[in-house]
Amino acid sequence: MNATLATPAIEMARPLSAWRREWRHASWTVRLAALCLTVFYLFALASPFFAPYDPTFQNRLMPDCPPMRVHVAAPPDWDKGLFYTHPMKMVDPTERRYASDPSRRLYIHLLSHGHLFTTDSPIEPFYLMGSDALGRDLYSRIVYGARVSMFVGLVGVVISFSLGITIGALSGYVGGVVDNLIMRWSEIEMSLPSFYFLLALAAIIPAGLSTVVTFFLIVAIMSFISWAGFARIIRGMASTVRGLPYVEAARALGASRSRIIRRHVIPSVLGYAIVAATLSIPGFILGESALSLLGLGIQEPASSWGNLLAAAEDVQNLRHYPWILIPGIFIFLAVMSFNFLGDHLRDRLDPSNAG
Amino acid sequence: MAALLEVKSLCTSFFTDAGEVRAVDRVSFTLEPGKLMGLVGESGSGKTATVLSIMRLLPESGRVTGGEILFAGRDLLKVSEPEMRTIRGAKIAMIFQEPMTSLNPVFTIGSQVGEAIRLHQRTSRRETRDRVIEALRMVGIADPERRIGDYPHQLSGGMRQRVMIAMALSCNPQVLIADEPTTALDVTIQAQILELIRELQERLKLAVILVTHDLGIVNEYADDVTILYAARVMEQASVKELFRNPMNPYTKGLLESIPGIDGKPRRRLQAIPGAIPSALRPPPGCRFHPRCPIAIPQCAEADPPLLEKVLNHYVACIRV
Repeated sequence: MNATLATPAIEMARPLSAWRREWRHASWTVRLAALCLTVFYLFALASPFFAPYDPTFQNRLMPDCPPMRVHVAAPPDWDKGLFYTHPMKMVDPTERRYASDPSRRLYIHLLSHGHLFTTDSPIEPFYLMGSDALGRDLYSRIVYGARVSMFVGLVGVVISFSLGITIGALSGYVGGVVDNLIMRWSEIEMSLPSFYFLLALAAIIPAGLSTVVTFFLIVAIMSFISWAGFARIIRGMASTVRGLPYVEAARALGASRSRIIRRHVIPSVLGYAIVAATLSIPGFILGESALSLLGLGIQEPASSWGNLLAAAEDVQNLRHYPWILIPGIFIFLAVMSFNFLGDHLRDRLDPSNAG
Repeated sequence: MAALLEVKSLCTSFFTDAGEVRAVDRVSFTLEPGKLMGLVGESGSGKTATVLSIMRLLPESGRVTGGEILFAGRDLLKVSEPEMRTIRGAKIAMIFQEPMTSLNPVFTIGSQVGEAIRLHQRTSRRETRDRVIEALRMVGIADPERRIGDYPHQLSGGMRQRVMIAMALSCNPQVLIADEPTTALDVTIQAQILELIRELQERLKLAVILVTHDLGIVNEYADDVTILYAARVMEQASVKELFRNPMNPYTKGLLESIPGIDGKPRRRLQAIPGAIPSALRPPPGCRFHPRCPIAIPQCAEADPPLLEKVLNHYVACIRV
């Protein structure tokens, strides 16, 4: 340890080895969860790369097309493409039934035209996960939908937890009248029936805004009212910290109230907060899909996993075109991943498990 | 030499559901630079309440109800809280009983000592680091360049108390208050820490208040001593004078209850009969009279004033 004492904070020496160490500690479920989330966030950050087609492009010739099978080309054909599929053709327009044409090959080009994989033309597409009723590529819509679904949780959690930590720490550390006022206020907020509140909000938010902006506005407002429960827990922890000798020692050294809250109270509740935040992201993701089902979420033609899944509410659709449930698998994976990761973080941050 | 810190008939009470508890009752003493004063008393006699009053760090239920605390001519009870913060740590520093928990477990000791410095002074990072190393070296921590990266759990109790002392002294205070700094440590480490405090006090011309219940420690390290009993000062003198010529029966009782301080071999230790009275309802008159071997009826009538019986030797007892 010959590094200079660069900052008087926790030293983050050699981050690479720390990551490696964490990886070694993780069970295979946690590794899988981390991998899933990484992929989903990559989807969100680089949607145009991962999606082969424009998510709003409607191929009117191919509505409700089932997922296409991928074949590996024989080595002599590798100059045309490593993988190919047999193009689909609608054979029964009333029933929307498709048949593949085994005599033709549609080559899938990897890393071309700025996409991970794509075909030469969207007119003759490759539907990895099928298409929707308007002939849009479901996979591309899922990739673009990750932008909303993966960030709704982050935005919500960042807002509600930063409010919760600040208010809770203040309330717990300062105590007295301040504490009383804040806690009574939080009780009022917790007793609001949030779903009706949301319906009301959706009605009063101006119509001129784009749907994504509207939606994030709703999420932001949701988190403004959801800090309360969290703040109460932080408050309890903060009032414990307040009586600890090192806080008393800090006061004896002349530290101000805000400084003690920043230096001692918040760091001591941060471990819990990170775990709780991770575990509450799924709530926002599921909330988004619930809102979408009611038509309050992201509006067409923009996509989110929630509003893609909303198409599956019709049992007839579901029976004929079961692949429209695929967005649900993504929601499921994301929610499970956050839960596994949260549980793992809790175990890792628990000092009695320190190794 | 002029007094640096002068406490004048300080009264502090705790307001509990059961009523007002007088924890400090008209306590006075003066502290000069370069002197170490022992503040001695049993549990609950008001030692800690006295020093917390000086620091203005009493818990919410506690309040100073009277008296003055003059530091360099200013009454600390009258300065504003923001101003008091510039005195705490910078002018008057304090170290606590529990070195095990007085350091934040999530920060390195380097960062915590650095924080103490930067609370009162604007220093660059490099300068802070140098000062931290210097402070750690001053309190006898070997290899401070490496130690600054350690977390509190990597250090022993004695080392942690050294770090606490380094933090307390990092802003060059004039007064150091040590509230039972060695109670949580084992005996060999106790001696090291007290030696360290004594040595730093002489070198830095600090005025030190050493709160303790151990007269042996006072005898060895203090210059002056103030004996508290049930919130009142019973006796005040230089250590030499007090141990040679204890006058208050309580002090005598204390000295007889500890072995070997007077060098007399193998005598029976005498315990003071009874127990310390309830602070909620202290006995009338002299607080000690129910347990006093030489009490007379008048002792229960009036609180004895603290009088100078011999030069610089103050005693509160009507029987001497």
